Amino acid sequence: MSMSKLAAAGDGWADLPRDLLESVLARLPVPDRLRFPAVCTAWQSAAATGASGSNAPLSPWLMLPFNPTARGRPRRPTPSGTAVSEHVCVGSSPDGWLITADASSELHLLNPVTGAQVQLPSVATLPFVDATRGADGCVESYSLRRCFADDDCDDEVLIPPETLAPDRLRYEVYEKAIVTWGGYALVLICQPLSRVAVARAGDAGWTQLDTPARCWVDAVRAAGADGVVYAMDTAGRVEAWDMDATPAPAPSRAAIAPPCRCSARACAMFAVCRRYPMELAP
Amino acid sequence: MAAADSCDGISTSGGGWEKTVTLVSSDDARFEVREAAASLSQTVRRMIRAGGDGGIPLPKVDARTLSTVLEYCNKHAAVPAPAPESSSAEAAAVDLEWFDKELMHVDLATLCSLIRAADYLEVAGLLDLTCKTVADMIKSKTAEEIRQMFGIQNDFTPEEEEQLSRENAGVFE
Repeated sequence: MSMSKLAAAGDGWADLPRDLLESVLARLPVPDRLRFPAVCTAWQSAAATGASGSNAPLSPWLMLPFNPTARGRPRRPTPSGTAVSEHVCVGSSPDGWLITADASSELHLLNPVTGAQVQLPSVATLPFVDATRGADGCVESYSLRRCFADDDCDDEVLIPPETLAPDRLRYEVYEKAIVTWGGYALVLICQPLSRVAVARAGDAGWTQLDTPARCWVDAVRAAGADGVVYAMDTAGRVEAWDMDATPAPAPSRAAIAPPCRCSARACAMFAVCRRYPMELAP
Repeated sequence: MAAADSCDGISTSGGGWEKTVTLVSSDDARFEVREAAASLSQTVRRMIRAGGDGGIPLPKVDARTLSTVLEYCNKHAAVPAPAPESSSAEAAAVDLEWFDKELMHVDLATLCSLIRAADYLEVAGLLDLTCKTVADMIKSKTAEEIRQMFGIQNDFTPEEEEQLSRENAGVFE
Protein backbone atom coordinates (compact mmCIF):
# COMPACT_ATOMS: atom_id res chain seq x y z
CA MET A 1 0.00 0.00 0.00
CA SER A 2 2.76 2.36 0.95
CA MET A 3 4.54 1.71 -2.32
CA SER A 4 1.53 2.61 -4.44
CA LYS A 5 1.04 5.74 -2.37
CA LEU A 6 4.67 6.65 -3.03
CA ALA A 7 4.29 6.14 -6.75
CA ALA A 8 1.14 8.22 -6.82
CA ALA A 9 2.91 11.05 -5.03
CA GLY A 10 5.45 11.09 -7.85
CA ASP A 11 8.34 10.05 -5.63
CA GLY A 12 10.21 8.56 -8.55
CA TRP A 13 13.78 8.85 -9.70
CA ALA A 14 13.18 11.80 -12.01
CA ASP A 15 12.13 14.16 -9.24
CA LEU A 16 14.70 13.11 -6.67
CA PRO A 17 15.70 16.26 -4.76
CA ARG A 18 18.54 18.11 -6.41
CA ASP A 19 21.01 17.66 -3.55
CA LEU A 20 20.52 13.89 -3.74
CA LEU A 21 21.11 13.92 -7.49
CA GLU A 22 24.26 15.97 -6.86
CA SER A 23 25.43 13.41 -4.29
CA VAL A 24 25.02 10.65 -6.85
CA LEU A 25 26.72 12.75 -9.51
CA ALA A 26 29.72 13.38 -7.28
CA ARG A 27 30.31 9.65 -7.05
CA LEU A 28 30.42 9.09 -10.80
CA PRO A 29 33.54 8.86 -12.93
CA VAL A 30 34.04 11.54 -15.57
CA PRO A 31 32.49 9.85 -18.64
CA ASP A 32 29.29 9.09 -16.73
CA ARG A 33 29.10 12.63 -15.38
CA LEU A 34 28.93 13.81 -18.95
CA ARG A 35 26.05 11.48 -19.82
CA PHE A 36 24.17 12.31 -16.62
CA PRO A 37 22.54 15.55 -17.84
CA ALA A 38 21.21 13.83 -20.97
CA VAL A 39 18.79 11.72 -18.93
CA CYS A 40 16.09 14.33 -18.22
CA THR A 41 15.72 18.04 -17.48
CA ALA A 42 15.79 17.57 -13.69
CA TRP A 43 19.06 15.64 -13.89
CA GLN A 44 20.40 18.21 -16.32
CA SER A 45 19.86 21.09 -13.94
CA ALA A 46 21.33 19.07 -11.05
CA ALA A 47 24.41 18.42 -13.15
CA ALA A 48 24.73 22.10 -13.99
CA THR A 49 25.01 23.08 -10.34
CA GLY A 50 26.59 19.90 -9.04
CA ALA A 51 29.55 19.68 -11.36
CA SER A 52 31.32 22.72 -9.99
CA GLY A 53 30.83 21.86 -6.34
CA SER A 54 32.11 18.34 -6.51
CA ASN A 55 35.32 17.61 -4.69
CA ALA A 56 35.24 13.84 -4.63
CA PRO A 57 38.56 12.37 -5.66
CA LEU A 58 38.56 10.89 -9.13
CA SER A 59 40.73 8.17 -10.49
CA PRO A 60 43.37 9.42 -12.89
CA TRP A 61 42.96 8.89 -16.62
CA LEU A 62 45.40 7.40 -19.01
CA MET A 63 45.17 8.97 -22.43
CA LEU A 64 46.14 6.71 -25.30
CA PRO A 65 46.73 7.65 -28.92
CA PHE A 66 44.79 4.59 -30.05
CA ASN A 67 41.71 2.67 -29.05
CA PRO A 68 42.74 -0.26 -26.84
CA THR A 69 39.27 -1.81 -26.86
CA ALA A 70 38.36 -3.07 -30.27
CA ARG A 71 35.03 -4.20 -28.85
CA GLY A 72 32.90 -2.97 -25.99
CA ARG A 73 32.39 0.57 -24.90
CA PRO A 74 34.73 3.01 -26.58
CA ARG A 75 36.67 5.06 -24.09
CA ARG A 76 38.89 7.09 -26.34
CA PRO A 77 38.29 10.78 -25.95
CA THR A 78 38.22 12.42 -29.36
CA PRO A 79 37.55 16.13 -29.08
CA SER A 80 35.67 17.23 -32.12
CA GLY A 81 36.62 19.75 -34.73
CA THR A 82 40.32 19.90 -33.96
CA ALA A 83 43.28 17.90 -35.10
CA VAL A 84 44.24 17.17 -31.52
CA SER A 85 46.11 14.07 -32.60
CA GLU A 86 48.85 16.38 -33.86
CA HIS A 87 49.25 17.99 -30.46
CA VAL A 88 52.14 17.17 -28.19
CA CYS A 89 51.37 17.14 -24.48
CA VAL A 90 53.76 19.22 -22.38
CA GLY A 91 51.88 19.26 -19.09
CA SER A 92 48.66 18.51 -17.29
CA SER A 93 46.62 19.63 -14.35
CA PRO A 94 44.70 17.58 -11.76
CA ASP A 95 41.56 19.40 -12.96
CA GLY A 96 41.66 17.34 -16.12
CA TRP A 97 43.31 19.82 -18.46
CA LEU A 98 46.26 19.13 -20.69
CA ILE A 99 48.72 21.69 -21.92
CA THR A 100 49.46 20.81 -25.51
CA ALA A 101 51.59 22.21 -28.29
CA ASP A 102 49.99 22.11 -31.73
CA ALA A 103 51.69 21.63 -35.10
CA SER A 104 52.68 25.31 -35.11
CA SER A 105 54.21 24.86 -31.65
CA GLU A 106 51.52 27.10 -30.14
CA LEU A 107 50.30 26.14 -26.67
CA HIS A 108 46.73 25.31 -25.75
CA LEU A 109 44.84 24.27 -22.69
CA LEU A 110 42.86 21.26 -23.78
CA ASN A 111 40.19 19.37 -21.92
CA PRO A 112 40.32 15.92 -23.52
CA VAL A 113 36.92 14.97 -22.15
CA THR A 114 34.81 17.92 -23.23
CA GLY A 115 37.03 18.95 -26.11
CA ALA A 116 37.20 22.49 -24.77
CA GLN A 117 40.28 24.44 -25.76
CA VAL A 118 41.83 27.65 -24.53
CA GLN A 119 44.40 29.35 -26.70
CA LEU A 120 47.47 30.33 -24.69
CA PRO A 121 49.79 33.25 -25.44
CA SER A 122 51.83 32.77 -28.57
CA VAL A 123 55.24 31.13 -28.34
CA ALA A 124 56.56 34.06 -30.39
CA THR A 125 56.08 36.27 -27.31
CA LEU A 126 58.91 34.41 -25.56
CA PRO A 127 61.86 36.80 -25.71
CA PHE A 128 64.17 34.33 -27.41
CA VAL A 129 61.74 33.14 -30.09
CA ASP A 130 60.94 35.01 -33.29
CA ALA A 131 58.37 33.90 -35.83
CA THR A 132 58.60 34.42 -39.55
CA ARG A 133 55.12 34.59 -40.96
CA GLY A 134 53.94 34.17 -44.51
CA ALA A 135 51.48 36.40 -46.31
CA ASP A 136 48.56 34.43 -44.85
CA GLY A 137 49.76 35.01 -41.29
CA CYS A 138 50.77 31.40 -40.76
CA VAL A 139 54.15 30.71 -39.23
CA GLU A 140 56.68 29.58 -41.80
CA SER A 141 59.58 29.16 -39.44
CA TYR A 142 60.81 30.08 -35.99
CA SER A 143 64.20 31.34 -35.02
CA LEU A 144 65.46 30.40 -31.60
CA ARG A 145 68.27 32.29 -29.90
CA ARG A 146 70.18 29.88 -27.73
CA CYS A 147 72.73 32.40 -26.55
CA PHE A 148 71.86 35.59 -24.78
CA ALA A 149 73.86 38.74 -25.17
CA ASP A 150 74.97 40.07 -21.79
CA ASP A 151 74.98 43.69 -20.85
CA ASP A 152 78.75 43.79 -21.36
CA CYS A 153 78.65 42.52 -24.89
CA ASP A 154 75.54 44.17 -26.22
CA ASP A 155 74.90 43.05 -29.70
CA GLU A 156 77.57 40.46 -29.91
CA VAL A 157 75.83 37.25 -30.77
CA LEU A 158 78.12 34.32 -30.19
CA ILE A 159 75.91 31.69 -31.74
CA PRO A 160 73.56 32.70 -34.53
CA PRO A 161 69.88 31.96 -33.99
CA GLU A 162 68.73 28.57 -35.07
CA THR A 163 65.94 28.31 -37.63
CA LEU A 164 63.32 25.69 -36.88
CA ALA A 165 60.27 24.41 -38.73
CA PRO A 166 56.95 25.37 -37.04
CA ASP A 167 56.37 21.86 -35.73
CA ARG A 168 59.96 21.37 -34.50
CA LEU A 169 60.20 24.28 -32.11
CA ARG A 170 57.96 22.60 -29.54
CA TYR A 171 60.46 19.78 -29.10
CA GLU A 172 63.33 22.24 -28.63
CA VAL A 173 61.68 24.72 -26.29
CA TYR A 174 59.11 23.16 -23.97
CA GLU A 175 60.37 21.21 -20.99
CA LYS A 176 57.35 21.26 -18.76
CA ALA A 177 54.26 23.35 -18.26
CA ILE A 178 52.02 23.39 -15.22
CA VAL A 179 48.70 25.08 -14.55
CA THR A 180 47.55 26.50 -11.28
CA TRP A 181 43.84 26.94 -11.30
CA GLY A 182 41.58 29.79 -10.32
CA GLY A 183 41.52 31.76 -13.53
CA TYR A 184 44.69 29.83 -14.36
CA ALA A 185 48.31 30.81 -14.20
CA LEU A 186 50.88 28.88 -16.13
CA VAL A 187 54.50 28.18 -15.44
CA LEU A 188 56.51 27.09 -18.42
CA ILE A 189 60.00 25.70 -18.12
CA CYS A 190 61.65 26.10 -21.47
CA GLN A 191 64.96 25.75 -23.21
CA PRO A 192 67.42 27.20 -23.81
CA LEU A 193 69.02 27.39 -20.39
CA SER A 194 65.97 26.17 -18.48
CA ARG A 195 64.25 29.52 -18.33
CA VAL A 196 60.92 30.06 -16.70
CA ALA A 197 58.09 32.01 -18.26
CA VAL A 198 54.68 32.66 -16.75
CA ALA A 199 51.31 33.67 -18.12
CA ARG A 200 47.92 34.27 -16.64
CA ALA A 201 44.43 34.13 -18.07
CA GLY A 202 44.00 37.07 -20.41
CA ASP A 203 47.70 37.78 -20.82
CA ALA A 204 48.76 38.67 -24.36
CA GLY A 205 52.20 37.19 -23.98
CA TRP A 206 54.56 35.13 -21.88
CA THR A 207 56.63 36.90 -19.26
CA GLN A 208 60.08 35.51 -18.70
CA LEU A 209 61.02 35.53 -15.05
CA ASP A 210 64.27 37.23 -14.25
CA THR A 211 66.16 34.45 -12.56
CA PRO A 212 69.81 35.22 -13.17
CA ALA A 213 72.09 32.22 -13.30
CA ARG A 214 69.36 29.91 -12.11
CA CYS A 215 68.34 27.00 -14.25
CA TRP A 216 64.97 25.59 -13.31
CA VAL A 217 64.64 21.89 -13.83
CA ASP A 218 61.26 21.10 -12.40
CA ALA A 219 58.16 22.59 -10.90
CA VAL A 220 55.09 21.09 -9.26
CA ARG A 221 51.81 22.45 -8.00
CA ALA A 222 51.69 22.69 -4.23
CA ALA A 223 48.96 20.30 -3.17
CA GLY A 224 47.88 22.19 -0.10
CA ALA A 225 47.87 25.76 -1.35
CA ASP A 226 46.01 27.17 -4.33
CA GLY A 227 48.13 29.06 -6.78
CA VAL A 228 51.45 28.04 -5.24
CA VAL A 229 54.13 26.32 -7.26
CA TYR A 230 57.28 24.68 -5.95
CA ALA A 231 60.13 25.19 -8.38
CA MET A 232 63.51 23.52 -8.17
CA ASP A 233 66.76 24.61 -9.81
CA THR A 234 69.75 22.57 -10.93
CA ALA A 235 71.43 22.94 -7.55
CA GLY A 236 68.44 21.45 -5.77
CA ARG A 237 67.19 24.72 -4.28
CA VAL A 238 63.45 24.80 -3.96
CA GLU A 239 61.34 27.92 -3.93
CA ALA A 240 57.63 28.44 -3.38
CA TRP A 241 56.12 30.78 -5.91
CA ASP A 242 52.75 32.30 -5.21
CA MET A 243 51.30 32.79 -8.66
CA ASP A 244 48.30 34.70 -7.35
CA ALA A 245 50.45 37.37 -5.75
CA THR A 246 50.23 40.91 -7.04
CA PRO A 247 51.56 42.73 -8.91
CA ALA A 248 51.27 40.36 -11.81
CA PRO A 249 52.93 38.71 -13.54
CA ALA A 250 55.93 38.03 -11.31
CA PRO A 251 55.05 35.65 -8.47
CA SER A 252 56.16 36.30 -4.93
CA ARG A 253 58.96 33.93 -4.00
CA ALA A 254 60.06 32.23 -0.82
CA ALA A 255 62.98 29.85 -0.41
CA ILE A 256 61.91 26.41 0.80
CA ALA A 257 65.00 24.23 0.55
CA PRO A 258 68.72 25.07 0.38
CA PRO A 259 70.93 23.78 -2.40
CA CYS A 260 71.68 20.11 -2.23
CA ARG A 261 74.92 19.32 -0.43
CA CYS A 262 76.51 16.93 -2.81
CA SER A 263 79.56 18.16 -4.66
CA ALA A 264 79.12 20.69 -7.40
CA ARG A 265 80.75 18.29 -9.78
CA ALA A 266 78.11 15.65 -9.16
CA CYS A 267 75.41 18.23 -9.55
CA ALA A 268 76.83 19.22 -12.88
CA MET A 269 76.54 15.63 -13.97
CA PHE A 270 72.90 15.99 -14.55
CA ALA A 271 72.09 12.44 -15.49
CA VAL A 272 73.80 11.05 -12.42
CA CYS A 273 72.38 13.43 -9.88
CA ARG A 274 68.75 13.97 -10.76
CA ARG A 275 66.31 15.23 -8.18
CA TYR A 276 62.55 15.20 -8.30
CA PRO A 277 60.41 17.50 -6.22
CA MET A 278 57.47 15.78 -4.62
CA GLU A 279 55.17 16.64 -1.81
CA LEU A 280 54.22 14.20 0.91
CA ALA A 281 50.84 14.37 2.55
CA PRO A 282 51.11 15.89 6.04
CA MET B 1 7.53 -3.17 16.42
CA ALA B 2 6.50 -3.34 20.06
CA ALA B 3 5.08 -0.12 21.32
CA ALA B 4 6.95 1.49 24.17
CA ASP B 5 4.71 2.42 27.02
CA SER B 6 6.76 5.19 28.47
CA CYS B 7 5.22 8.52 27.71
CA ASP B 8 8.43 10.27 26.74
CA GLY B 9 9.44 7.63 24.24
CA ILE B 10 12.33 6.49 26.38
CA SER B 11 12.37 3.28 28.35
CA THR B 12 14.77 0.68 29.56
CA SER B 13 14.78 -2.63 27.79
CA GLY B 14 14.98 -5.94 29.61
CA GLY B 15 18.15 -6.60 31.58
CA GLY B 16 20.35 -3.75 30.44
CA TRP B 17 19.95 -0.11 31.24
CA GLU B 18 20.17 0.91 27.66
CA LYS B 19 17.89 3.73 26.66
CA THR B 20 15.45 3.11 23.86
CA VAL B 21 13.27 5.43 21.84
CA THR B 22 10.11 4.76 19.90
CA LEU B 23 9.90 5.85 16.27
CA VAL B 24 6.55 6.08 14.52
CA SER B 25 6.43 5.63 10.75
CA SER B 26 4.07 7.42 8.35
CA ASP B 27 1.71 4.44 8.45
CA ASP B 28 1.67 4.41 12.27
CA ALA B 29 3.95 1.44 12.83
CA ARG B 30 5.95 1.82 16.05
CA PHE B 31 9.58 0.78 16.31
CA GLU B 32 11.42 0.55 19.58
CA VAL B 33 15.07 1.21 18.98
CA ARG B 34 18.16 1.64 21.12
CA GLU B 35 18.91 5.32 21.43
CA ALA B 36 22.48 4.76 20.29
CA ALA B 37 21.21 3.31 17.03
CA ALA B 38 18.46 5.87 16.51
CA SER B 39 20.97 8.65 17.10
CA LEU B 40 22.76 7.76 13.88
CA SER B 41 19.93 9.79 12.43
CA GLN B 42 20.64 13.45 13.08
CA THR B 43 16.95 14.20 12.62
CA VAL B 44 15.95 11.73 15.35
CA ARG B 45 18.78 12.89 17.58
CA ARG B 46 17.47 16.47 17.45
CA MET B 47 13.95 15.24 18.23
CA ILE B 48 15.20 13.20 21.19
CA ARG B 49 16.86 16.33 22.57
CA ALA B 50 13.69 18.33 22.04
CA GLY B 51 11.71 15.64 23.91
CA GLY B 52 8.12 14.68 23.19
CA ASP B 53 5.27 12.38 24.01
CA GLY B 54 4.38 8.97 22.68
CA GLY B 55 7.29 8.35 20.38
CA ILE B 56 8.96 10.28 17.62
CA PRO B 57 6.80 10.76 14.51
CA LEU B 58 8.53 10.35 11.15
CA PRO B 59 5.75 11.27 8.69
CA LYS B 60 7.97 11.02 5.63
CA VAL B 61 9.09 7.42 6.09
CA ASP B 62 6.88 4.34 5.75
CA ALA B 63 7.26 1.23 7.91
CA ARG B 64 8.99 -0.87 5.27
CA THR B 65 11.62 1.72 4.57
CA LEU B 66 12.06 2.60 8.23
CA SER B 67 12.69 -1.02 9.17
CA THR B 68 15.51 -1.19 6.61
CA VAL B 69 16.97 2.09 7.85
CA LEU B 70 16.84 0.80 11.41
CA GLU B 71 18.46 -2.46 10.34
CA TYR B 72 21.34 -0.33 9.07
CA CYS B 73 21.46 1.80 12.23
CA ASN B 74 21.36 -1.19 14.58
CA LYS B 75 24.21 -2.86 12.78
CA HIS B 76 26.37 0.21 12.53
CA ALA B 77 25.73 1.39 16.08
CA ALA B 78 26.52 -2.07 17.46
CA VAL B 79 30.06 -2.00 16.19
CA PRO B 80 32.32 -0.78 18.96
CA ALA B 81 35.35 1.26 18.03
CA PRO B 82 38.24 -1.16 18.58
CA ALA B 83 41.87 -0.18 18.42
CA PRO B 84 42.71 0.57 14.82
CA GLU B 85 44.93 -1.85 12.93
CA SER B 86 43.93 -4.72 15.20
CA SER B 87 42.72 -7.87 13.50
CA SER B 88 39.28 -7.55 15.09
CA ALA B 89 38.91 -4.07 13.66
CA GLU B 90 39.69 -5.43 10.25
CA ALA B 91 37.23 -8.27 10.65
CA ALA B 92 34.54 -5.87 11.82
CA ALA B 93 35.13 -3.64 8.81
CA VAL B 94 34.86 -6.59 6.45
CA ASP B 95 31.70 -7.72 8.18
CA LEU B 96 30.15 -4.25 7.92
CA GLU B 97 31.07 -3.99 4.27
CA TRP B 98 29.41 -7.32 3.59
CA PHE B 99 26.34 -6.25 5.56
CA ASP B 100 26.08 -2.99 3.58
CA LYS B 101 26.36 -4.86 0.32
CA GLU B 102 23.58 -7.26 1.31
CA LEU B 103 21.38 -4.40 2.47
CA MET B 104 21.61 -2.81 -0.96
CA HIS B 105 20.23 -5.91 -2.67
CA VAL B 106 16.82 -4.32 -3.07
CA ASP B 107 14.57 -3.35 -5.95
CA LEU B 108 14.81 0.13 -7.42
CA ALA B 109 11.64 1.46 -5.80
CA THR B 110 12.94 0.47 -2.37
CA LEU B 111 16.32 1.99 -3.12
CA CYS B 112 14.61 5.23 -4.10
CA SER B 113 12.65 5.27 -0.83
CA LEU B 114 15.84 4.47 1.10
CA ILE B 115 17.82 7.30 -0.45
CA ARG B 116 15.05 9.76 0.37
CA ALA B 117 14.68 8.37 3.90
CA ALA B 118 18.43 8.54 4.50
CA ASP B 119 18.34 12.16 3.36
CA TYR B 120 15.32 13.08 5.49
CA LEU B 121 16.60 11.23 8.55
CA GLU B 122 20.14 12.48 7.93
CA VAL B 123 21.87 9.14 8.31
CA ALA B 124 25.14 10.12 6.68
CA GLY B 125 26.53 6.62 6.27
CA LEU B 126 23.35 5.27 4.69
CA LEU B 127 23.06 8.27 2.38
CA ASP B 128 26.59 7.68 1.21
CA LEU B 129 25.90 3.98 0.74
CA THR B 130 22.70 4.50 -1.26
CA CYS B 131 24.19 7.26 -3.45
CA LYS B 132 27.18 5.06 -4.16
CA THR B 133 24.86 2.18 -5.07
CA VAL B 134 22.91 4.36 -7.49
CA ALA B 135 26.14 5.72 -8.99
CA ASP B 136 27.36 2.16 -9.54
CA MET B 137 24.14 1.34 -11.37
CA ILE B 138 24.46 4.39 -13.63
CA LYS B 139 28.08 3.74 -14.49
CA SER B 140 28.82 2.93 -18.14
CA LYS B 141 25.19 3.26 -19.20
CA THR B 142 23.77 5.50 -21.90
CA ALA B 143 21.13 8.10 -21.08
CA GLU B 144 18.46 5.90 -22.68
CA GLU B 145 19.52 2.86 -20.64
CA ILE B 146 19.39 4.95 -17.47
CA ARG B 147 15.92 6.24 -18.35
CA GLN B 148 14.65 2.71 -18.94
CA MET B 149 16.20 1.33 -15.78
CA PHE B 150 14.75 4.02 -13.51
CA GLY B 151 11.52 4.57 -15.42
CA ILE B 152 12.31 8.20 -16.13
CA GLN B 153 10.39 10.07 -18.81
CA ASN B 154 12.50 11.73 -21.48
CA ASP B 155 11.23 15.29 -21.12
CA PHE B 156 13.59 17.01 -23.53
CA THR B 157 12.19 18.68 -26.62
CA PRO B 158 13.50 17.22 -29.89
CA GLU B 159 15.60 20.38 -30.33
CA GLU B 160 17.15 20.04 -26.87
CA GLU B 161 17.85 16.39 -27.49
CA GLU B 162 19.58 17.16 -30.77
CA GLN B 163 21.68 19.79 -29.00
CA LEU B 164 22.64 17.26 -26.30
CA SER B 165 23.63 14.57 -28.75
CA ARG B 166 25.70 17.13 -30.65
CA GLU B 167 27.47 18.12 -27.46
CA ASN B 168 28.16 14.53 -26.51
CA ALA B 169 29.13 13.37 -29.97
CA GLY B 170 32.55 14.87 -29.63
CA VAL B 171 33.18 13.33 -26.28
CA PHE B 172 33.15 9.67 -27.14
CA GLU B 173 33.10 8.13 -30.52
